[in-house]
Amino acid sequence: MITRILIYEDNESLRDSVVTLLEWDETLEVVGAITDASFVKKDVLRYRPDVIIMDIDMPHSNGVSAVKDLRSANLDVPVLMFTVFEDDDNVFNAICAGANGYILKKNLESLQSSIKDVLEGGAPMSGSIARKVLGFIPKYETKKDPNLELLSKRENEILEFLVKGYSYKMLASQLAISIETVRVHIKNIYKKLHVNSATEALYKVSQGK
Amino acid sequence: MTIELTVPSFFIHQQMKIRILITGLFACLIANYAFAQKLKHSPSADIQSLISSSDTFIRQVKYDSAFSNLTDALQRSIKSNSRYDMAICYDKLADLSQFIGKSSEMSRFDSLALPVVRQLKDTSLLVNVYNRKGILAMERGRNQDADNYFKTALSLGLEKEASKKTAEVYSNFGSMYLARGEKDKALESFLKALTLYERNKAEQGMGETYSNISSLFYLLGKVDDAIQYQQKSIEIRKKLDDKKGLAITNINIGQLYILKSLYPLALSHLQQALKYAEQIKNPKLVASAASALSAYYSRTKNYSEALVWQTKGITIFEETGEKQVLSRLYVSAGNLASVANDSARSVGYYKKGLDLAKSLDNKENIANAYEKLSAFYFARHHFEEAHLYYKQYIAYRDSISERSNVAKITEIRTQYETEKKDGEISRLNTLQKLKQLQIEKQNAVISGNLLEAKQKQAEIELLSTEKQLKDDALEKQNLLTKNREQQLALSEKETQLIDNQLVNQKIIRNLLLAGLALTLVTGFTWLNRFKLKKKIQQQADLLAIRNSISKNLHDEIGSTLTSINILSNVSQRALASNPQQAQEMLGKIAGQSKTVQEKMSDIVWAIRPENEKMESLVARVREYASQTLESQDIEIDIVLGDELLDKELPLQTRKELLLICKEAISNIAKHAGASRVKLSFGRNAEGLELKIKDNGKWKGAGTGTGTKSMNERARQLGGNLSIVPDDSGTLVHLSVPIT
Repeated sequence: MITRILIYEDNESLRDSVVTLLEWDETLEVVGAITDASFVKKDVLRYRPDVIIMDIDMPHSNGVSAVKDLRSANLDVPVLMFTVFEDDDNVFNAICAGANGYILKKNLESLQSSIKDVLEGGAPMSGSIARKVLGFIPKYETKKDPNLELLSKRENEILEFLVKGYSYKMLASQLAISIETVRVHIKNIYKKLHVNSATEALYKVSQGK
Repeated sequence: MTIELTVPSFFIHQQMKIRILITGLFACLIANYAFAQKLKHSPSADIQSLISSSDTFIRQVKYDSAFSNLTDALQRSIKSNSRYDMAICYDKLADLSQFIGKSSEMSRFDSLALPVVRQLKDTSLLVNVYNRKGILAMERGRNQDADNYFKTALSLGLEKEASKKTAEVYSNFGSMYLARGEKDKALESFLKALTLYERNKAEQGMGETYSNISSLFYLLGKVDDAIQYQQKSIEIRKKLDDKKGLAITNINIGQLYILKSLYPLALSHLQQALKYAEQIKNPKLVASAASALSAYYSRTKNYSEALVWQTKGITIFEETGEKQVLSRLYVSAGNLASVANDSARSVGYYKKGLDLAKSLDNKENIANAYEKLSAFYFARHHFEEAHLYYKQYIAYRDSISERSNVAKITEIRTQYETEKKDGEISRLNTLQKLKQLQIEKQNAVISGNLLEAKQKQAEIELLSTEKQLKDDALEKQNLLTKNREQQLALSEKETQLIDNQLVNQKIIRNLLLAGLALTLVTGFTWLNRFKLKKKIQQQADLLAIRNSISKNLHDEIGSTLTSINILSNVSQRALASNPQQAQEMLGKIAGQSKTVQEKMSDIVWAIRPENEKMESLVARVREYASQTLESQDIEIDIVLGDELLDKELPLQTRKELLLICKEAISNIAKHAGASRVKLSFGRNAEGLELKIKDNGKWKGAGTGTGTKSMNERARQLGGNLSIVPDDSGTLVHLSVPIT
């Protein structure tokens, strides 16, 4: 089955290169390469992509707010944030807003595999994102909102090791679980992140560092 | 009423004569009585009806209609030349003027009434006039005059009448005593008034007196009692729908609640008071309510509102000439202006208040004005003036209570004198008795009665002891009185001492202030210099960081980008003729551009302040190690010594260390063929120690570009690097001095 991809990227050369890269893979088809994400909802209805690659920093629109727009219109298309640095605050914000994962611009050779990963529901988590998650999700119930999801003990452990730079493999061996279990835990952490960010304001992230 | 007398004719029978005479006599008596009735005064019918209709108008707050009715009545009575009617009309007009607060009008009517009333010798009207005059005098601050008027009113046979009128006069007396600060006399008068009102079931008067007693308690500082009495007053007045009274009571109780900090209650009462006052169109009361509201806002720290209300009140009072109240209002306006930092206005108000209080000789108000002035100057650090005013304040305050002290002293002395005299008298009596007894004894002896003589002797001894005791008692009293006098003298001396101390303190305080000012100035200058130095240092640091970043970018990335550029160019040209070479070059381009991306990422990582700690460095190394080595199934073990956990590294150090580690790891990945790698970070004598041990075989002689750059970085950090291959593997050892 051909995967339909919609790309938002304002840098022309980069956009061209990515399109070329993706087109090389016959299972992927780029249905649209747009510079401005202001009308993301209309675009999605028009192009009907299977996955969106969204640049974080564009001049006329903000990747994070585009994701918010999409999700508020109940459009569930998986979104991969396209970013230079993974410890960018915006990446975390985008994930909280509903993005499914991120791709570093320097790791473009693994673009296809990343897309496949995301489509299968396994977003990566780096140490810096893990650190932010720890700051965002409270450890115990605060009086503010009893509906906030809390991390389980295992999830907390995983996040802390991630912060220390452990790879999934290292984690698995450290905690004596399989890598698959690690991935499942990480998926759950993302889910909780989405739930909590629906109830809490995103500005907290910059304070929760 | 006229009587007709029939003259008896001679032709009537004798008996008839007598009967007629008797009837005639009766008739005369009746006539006399009737005539006397006329003297007893009752107004003519039409005047009466006008008066009662005007009363109705007053109750309906239609003052203008009431006035016109009364003036109508007055004109009629002048026309009919009925002096009594005129007097009544004047009385009523004066009363009305007083009720609506037009004191000058009232005074006018009273002066018109006085000669007529005197002529008529009508005591009740006369009492009214003097009563009103007394009230006016009190308002204008002429307390002595008020005293006289009230006494006159009282003496006009009222004391015996024990009527409502007497109660009124007593009540007015009470208010007058209150204004003069003679609180016990005031209470006495009020209680008399209250009893009389109760006896006459005059609820209006009771309401008024309760309110007055409440004021008295307030002045005595008993706020709770004051509130209680006000509430009693409110109760009665509500029953009577006495709006004027209700306005007054609500103002008073509002102020009491402010004192007790029960602000919502206070505000509601004051607003009610204002409503009532406006309803009855009494400017005095409106002004009182306004100034009470001002006090409320002042207490709740809404000073702008407070000043607005205060000025409203003052304007009205200036119109009506209420000097007693004005003197206090000026002072409080001064306070408000002071808080609003309008010093000029503030001082103006204070001085006004002080002058007015002095002209009224109202000691409470004078003392109050001085106190506030002193506080004002103190807050603005004009200590000399503050002290001056404070002294004045103390002087007045003491004089108010000193008068009672003096009274006490006189009292004690009088008591003592009396007792002394009593003592003297009884002593003399005893002496007398003694003498008498001795004579009797002599007599007894002479008459040869020894027993009697002994008895008498015993009596004499008893009396002597008694006398001795009395003498002792007198002595004791003398001593006690002396003691008391001394104590009083002492307290005077104490006050003097405190004064002296104050002066001394002032001098010391001034000196300290001067010293402090000097220290502050010196300290400030030093601080400035220090700050400046620090700023310069900060800027130098910033510049250093900027320089290192640009150096890094240039070194790490600039050259590689140049190389990529060259390779791209050459491969373009080589594509047609030598595709093999072109492919090689393209491969190199891919590799080098990847390297550049990595290096950029590393430089950004190093710049970020959250990566200052060793922990961050280790995390990044671990990440890289797993990325590079895991694919080859190489076991990774990274150890960070506890002593380094919180260590912070400067930007350059962490960047170089990271790159050294990366270089070593990528070497191991490329060449070593190892299965296990251990990195350990620790501390030694020179500083930081890094050991990278793998169990592979070292390929290369230590002269490759990788090794060269590692050495170079170590040198940059001022440390040294050694690579030691042996049978168990290769050890890369780095030692870097750190603080």
